[in-house]
Amino acid sequence: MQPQVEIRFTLNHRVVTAAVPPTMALLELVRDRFQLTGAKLGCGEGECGACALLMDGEPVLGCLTPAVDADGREVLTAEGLCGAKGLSPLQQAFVNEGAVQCGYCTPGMEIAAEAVLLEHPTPTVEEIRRGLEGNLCRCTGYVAIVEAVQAAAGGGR
Amino acid sequence: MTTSYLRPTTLDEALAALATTPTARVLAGGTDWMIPARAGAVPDALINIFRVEQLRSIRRTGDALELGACVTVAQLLKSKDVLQAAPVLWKAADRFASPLVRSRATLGGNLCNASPAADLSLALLACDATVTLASKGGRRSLTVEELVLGPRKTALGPGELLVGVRVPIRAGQVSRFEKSGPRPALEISAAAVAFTATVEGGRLTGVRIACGAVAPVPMRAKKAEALVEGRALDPALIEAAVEAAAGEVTPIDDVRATARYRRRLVAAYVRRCLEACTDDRRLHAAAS
Amino acid sequence: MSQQASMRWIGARVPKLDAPWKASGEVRYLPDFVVGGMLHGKIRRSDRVHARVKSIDTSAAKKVPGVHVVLTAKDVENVAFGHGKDNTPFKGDVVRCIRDELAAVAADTEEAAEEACRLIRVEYEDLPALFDPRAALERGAPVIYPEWPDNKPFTYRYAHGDVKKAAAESAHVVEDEFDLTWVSHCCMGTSAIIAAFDTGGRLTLNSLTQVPFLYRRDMAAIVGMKPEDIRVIQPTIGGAFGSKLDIYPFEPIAVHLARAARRPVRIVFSRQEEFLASPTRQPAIIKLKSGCDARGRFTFRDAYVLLDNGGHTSWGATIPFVMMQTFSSLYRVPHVRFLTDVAYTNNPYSGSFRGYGNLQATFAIEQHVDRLAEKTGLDPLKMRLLNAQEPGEETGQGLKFVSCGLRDCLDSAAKRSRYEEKRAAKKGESGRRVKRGLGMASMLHVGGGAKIYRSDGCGSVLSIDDFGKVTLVTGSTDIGQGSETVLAQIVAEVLGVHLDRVKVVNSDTDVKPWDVGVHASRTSYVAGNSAMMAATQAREKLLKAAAEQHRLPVEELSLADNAVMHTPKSGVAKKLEPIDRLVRSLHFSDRAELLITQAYFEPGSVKQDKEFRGNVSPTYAFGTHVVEVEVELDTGLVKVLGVWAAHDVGKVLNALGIEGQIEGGVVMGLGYALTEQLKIERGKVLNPAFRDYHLLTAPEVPPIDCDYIETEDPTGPFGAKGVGEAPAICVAAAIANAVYDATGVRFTALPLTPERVLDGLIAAGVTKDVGAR
Repeated sequence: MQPQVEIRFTLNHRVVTAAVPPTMALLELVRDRFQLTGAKLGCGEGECGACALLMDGEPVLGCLTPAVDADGREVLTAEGLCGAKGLSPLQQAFVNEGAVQCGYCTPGMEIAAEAVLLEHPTPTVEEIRRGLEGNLCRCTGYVAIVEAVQAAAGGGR
Repeated sequence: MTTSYLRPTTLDEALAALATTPTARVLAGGTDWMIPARAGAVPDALINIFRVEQLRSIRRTGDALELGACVTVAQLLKSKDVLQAAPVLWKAADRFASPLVRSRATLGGNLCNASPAADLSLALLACDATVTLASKGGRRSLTVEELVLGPRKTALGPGELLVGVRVPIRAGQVSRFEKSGPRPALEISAAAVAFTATVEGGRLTGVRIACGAVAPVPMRAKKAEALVEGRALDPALIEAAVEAAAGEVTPIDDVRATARYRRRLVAAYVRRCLEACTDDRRLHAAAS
Repeated sequence: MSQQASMRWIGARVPKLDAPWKASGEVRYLPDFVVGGMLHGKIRRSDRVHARVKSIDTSAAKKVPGVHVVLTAKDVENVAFGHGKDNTPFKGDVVRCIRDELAAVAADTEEAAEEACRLIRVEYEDLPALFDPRAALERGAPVIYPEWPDNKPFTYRYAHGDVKKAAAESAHVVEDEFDLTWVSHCCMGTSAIIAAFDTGGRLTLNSLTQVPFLYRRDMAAIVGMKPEDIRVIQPTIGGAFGSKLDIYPFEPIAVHLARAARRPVRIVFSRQEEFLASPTRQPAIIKLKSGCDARGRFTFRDAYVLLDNGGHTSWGATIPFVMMQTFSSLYRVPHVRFLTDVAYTNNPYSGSFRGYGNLQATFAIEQHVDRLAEKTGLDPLKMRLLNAQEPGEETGQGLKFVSCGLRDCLDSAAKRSRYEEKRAAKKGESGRRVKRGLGMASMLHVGGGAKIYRSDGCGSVLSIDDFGKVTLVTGSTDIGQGSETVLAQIVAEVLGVHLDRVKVVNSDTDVKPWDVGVHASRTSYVAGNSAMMAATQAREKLLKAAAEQHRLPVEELSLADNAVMHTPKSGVAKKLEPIDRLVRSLHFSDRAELLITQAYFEPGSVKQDKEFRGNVSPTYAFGTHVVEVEVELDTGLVKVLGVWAAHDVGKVLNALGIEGQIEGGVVMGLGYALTEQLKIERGKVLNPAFRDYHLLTAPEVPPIDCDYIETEDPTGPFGAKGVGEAPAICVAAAIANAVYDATGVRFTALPLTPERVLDGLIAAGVTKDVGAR
C-alpha cells in the first residue's frame, strides 16, 4: 500500500486538504478530487502543456508535479483566474483576440500566459512566444494567442 | 509498493533518512520521475528533497559559482550570476525543455538522471564543474565525467546524495552552446555542443569541447581540444579539429536522428564554436 | 443578397460565441464528464502487423477486481464496415496492422481495465507482411485479403485530352517522383466516446463525430440497431481536422461493451494510443510528368499515384477524388491523365485530414510549375499568371468557376512579399553558411462541399420566442472552427437583431435536421445558405405581419436594432415596433401563430459520373502563398522568415474567425512541410509521442500576413465560400520552392527536416561532408 500523505494547500483562493499517495499527480488531484477539469491530460509526459497550473506563481505541469508538493502552496487553475465579475482581463483577451478555437489547450495556455505576465508585466513578443513554448495548440497557429497576451499586457491586468 | 515517504527539510535530515534507507529513491522536482511512477513503477521508499532550502541556493564566491542540487532550471535562468559567470550553463538552461518543466526540473536531477542528452550536464562538463556528494559519513568531490558513468548510471554510492555543483569562474573565458533545432526548446537534443576556452593573444587555452547525445554519456572531444590547445586558429586548423571531433564521437541511430547526422551536427557546431573565437561578437559574454 | 456597406455583423470581428465558456476553463469535454454508473473501456490491440490469431485467452483478465466484461470477436456479431467493408470492431482470425483491436474490457476504473488488457494472452502465427505499396502490387506478393489477390482494392482513372500526343508536342517536359509520408492530426483532445443504453433499449452516444447522421446510420448497421434508436450527442470537441469523418472500431466496441455490461461505457484514448490508433494523413507516391509549350503555356499533366492503404480502408483511400481536381483544374491544362492505385499493406491506415489529398497533390504540381518556369526562362509568378484559371471557366473535369480570384491572389501575395524584388536581390542577402530564398505556390479546393453522397444539403429550423430570442437549430456541426458563430452572425444580420439574441443549437440528432457533416469546407457555405433561407423567411413573416398591423406598405419596412423599422418614402427610418412585441402580438392573439420557419438548402453541385466529370462543388476556393526561408547549409535547418498568403474567400463573414482559420491552417501546413512525421517502420509506429513527433511551437511561427480576396460568389451566403481547408494546402509546395531558390536543391519528399535537407545539400555538393576531405 502506498502511504497517504496529508496535505493542505490553497486551491483557487480557498484552503483545502487532501490525503494523497506520493505518486499521484497534481493534475489528478485537482481534476478528480476537486472537479476542476479546466486543466487537461493532453499527453501525460510534459510535452503539451494542457495540464499547466500555477504553483506559487510559477507555471508547472500538473501531470509531472507530485500532488504532495502542493502542500503549503498556492495552486491556481484556469478556473481560479476568473474573478467575481467573470473572466480575468487575460481570459477576456483570449476571447476577444480569437485565441480560442477548439479550446482544449486554452486553460493551460492561459496559465502559461499568466506566468509570462507575472514575470514580465510588459513582455516583448519574444518573451511571450518563449513563455508559451511548452504549450501546444493545433488550431490557432499561436498567432492570436500571442496577440491576446500582448493585448492583456497593454490593457493592464 | 511504497512503504515509506519522507520529506526532510534540512540536509542533515535528508542524509539521515538516506542512511537509514539507502535504497530509497530521491525525488526532487519529479519531472523525470513522475512518468514511470504514474505507470506503476513505485520504489520501496521515497525521499523528497525538493523542500531542503540549503539545496536551493546560488552563491557566487571569488572564483566559483556554488549551486545547490535542487536549484531549478528556472532559478538558473533568473540568476544574473549564472548569466555572467557561466553563460554556457545559462544558455543550456534557456534551451531546456519548456518553462513548465524548468520551474521544477533541478540541476541535481538532470545530472543524476544521467541521460546521454542531458543539456545541463553537458554545459557543466564544458565548465569544468565539480559535484559534491554527501552522505552521513562525509563528502567527496567528483568531476562530471566521474559522476556520469553511463545512461541512467552514476557513481553515487548507497546513502549518497548529490548536494551541490561548483562551477569555477575563469577570467577571460569565452563560451558557446549549440543545440539541434528546430524548436528553441522542448527538444531532446539530436546533438549538442558546449564549448569553453580562454583566448589570449589570438591563442586558445583551456579548451573544452563537450558533446551531448553522441555517446552513452556527455563526452569531451579531447582530440579536437588537443589540436587547438595553445594555438592560434586558422581555417585549416579549425577543419582539422572539426574532423577530429566528428571522428571521436560515437553516436547511434535512433528515432530522433541517424548517427551520420549527429556526427555532421557535431562538425557543424564545433566549427561554429571555433570560428566564433575569431570573432568576439559571436561568443557569449566573457566571464569576469 | 445585396452587399450593403452598412452590414452590422457580416465581416465584423466577432469572438466565438463559446469562447468565454472555454476561456473560463469550465467547459467540459468528453474526458471531463462522468455519466452515472459509467465504466471505463480499454482496448487490447495487436502486437503483430500481420498474423493469424490462434487463440485469445481472457480468463486472467476476467478475474481482475473491478472488471465487468471482457469481449472478443467471438462475443459479438462482428459486422464489417467502412468504405472498403474490410474493417470490423474486433479482429477474430487475422490481424493486419499494429492497431488492430483484439479484445476490450469494461471495468470500474481505467487502471483495472488496463491491467485486464495486459493480462489477455494472445497466440499468433505470423504471416508474411507487406510494408511497401510498390511491393504489394508485385506479382507473387503476399496476399492480405483473399478477396483481393492483387492487393489492389481501388483504382481511379481520369483523363481529358490526349496526354501522349501533348507530351510529344511539348517544348519542355519535367518528370519527378514525390514521396509523401504519414502525419497525424494531433487533436489536443484525444479520441473518446461514451455509449449508454436506456432501459427501453435506446442508445445515446456522446460522440466526437463530424458526421452525426451518417454516423448514426453506419453505427446502427454495425451494432444491429435501427438508426432511429440511436441518439448522437456531440459535446464540445478538442479538435478534429477531418479525423472524425469515419467510424473507427473503438466506437462500436464501446457500444458492445455498454450492451454487455448493461452500464454506460466511456473510452478515452491515451496520447500514445491516439498516435498509434487514430487515422493519419494518407501517404502517397506521386509520379508526375508535366509539360508546357515554348511560351510557357501548360500542355499536359500525366500523374500516377500509388496510395498505401494500410491494413484496412478508411477515407484515405478516397483522396484521389480531391487530388484529381487539382491535377485537372488548378490551372488550364488541356491534356490530363490521372491514374491511382490503392494497395493494401500491413501499415496503419489513413483517414481524412484537412485538405484531403490536396496537400500531397499540390506539393507535386506546384514544384513542377517552378521547374517548367525555369526551363522556359519565365519567372514562376508569370508562369502561374499565364496559366491561371479565370471566372467563368469550365475545366476539363467539368468544374465550373463562377467566381475565381486566383490571379488576384497571385498578384497580392507577390506584391506584399516583394516577391520579384527579393528574388532578384536575394543572392546578395545570403551569407556563406546561410542562404535565403523565396517560394510561391497556389491552390484550388472545393469551397462549398463536395457532392460525394446523395445529398450535400443542410436543414435549419428557426424560431423566435416571445422575448425576441432567436433559436437556430442547424443540422451542421461545430468542431471548434467557429461555424456556430458564423451562422449566428448570418441570422442576426438578416433579422436585424443583436448577436446576443441568437442561439445556435447544433449538437443533438434527436433535435436537429439532416446535414451531411463537417467536411469539404462546406459549413459556412451550405449551412450558411440554409440558415439564411430560414432567417429570410422569418424576416418576411415579421415584415408582413408588421405591415398588416400598422397598415403600412411592406416595402417601407425593414429590421434593425431588434425592431421593425419604418422608412417613409421621403423620410428617415424610425423604430416602429420591437421584434419581441410583434412576435407576442402574433402569438397571443386570434392569429395564435408562433414564429417558426424551416429551410433545407441543397447546393447546386452534382455527383460526378463514372469518369469523375461534373461540378462537384457549387463554388471553389483559390489561394496563393509566398514564403521566405533561410537555410543553414551546415545543419540543414530551414527557418521560415515570413508567409504572405492571399485567399479567395468569396466574402469575409467573420474577420476574427477567418484569421484563425488561415493562421492555424498555415501553421499546420508548415508542420507538414518541415517537422511532422509519424515514423513507421515495418508497420510499427516509432514515435507515438509529442516528444518525437515535433509539432511546431509558438517561437517557430513566422509572421503570417493574409489578404482576403472578396470575389463575392453569387451563390454563397453574402458571397462567401468555404476556406477551412484552403490555408494548409499549398504551404509545403511553397516551402520546397523556396528551399530550391535558396540552395538550388529540389526536395521531393517531406518533411524537410534538417537531416533530410543536409543529406540533399551534401548529395548535391552544396555542403561538404565531414570526413570527405
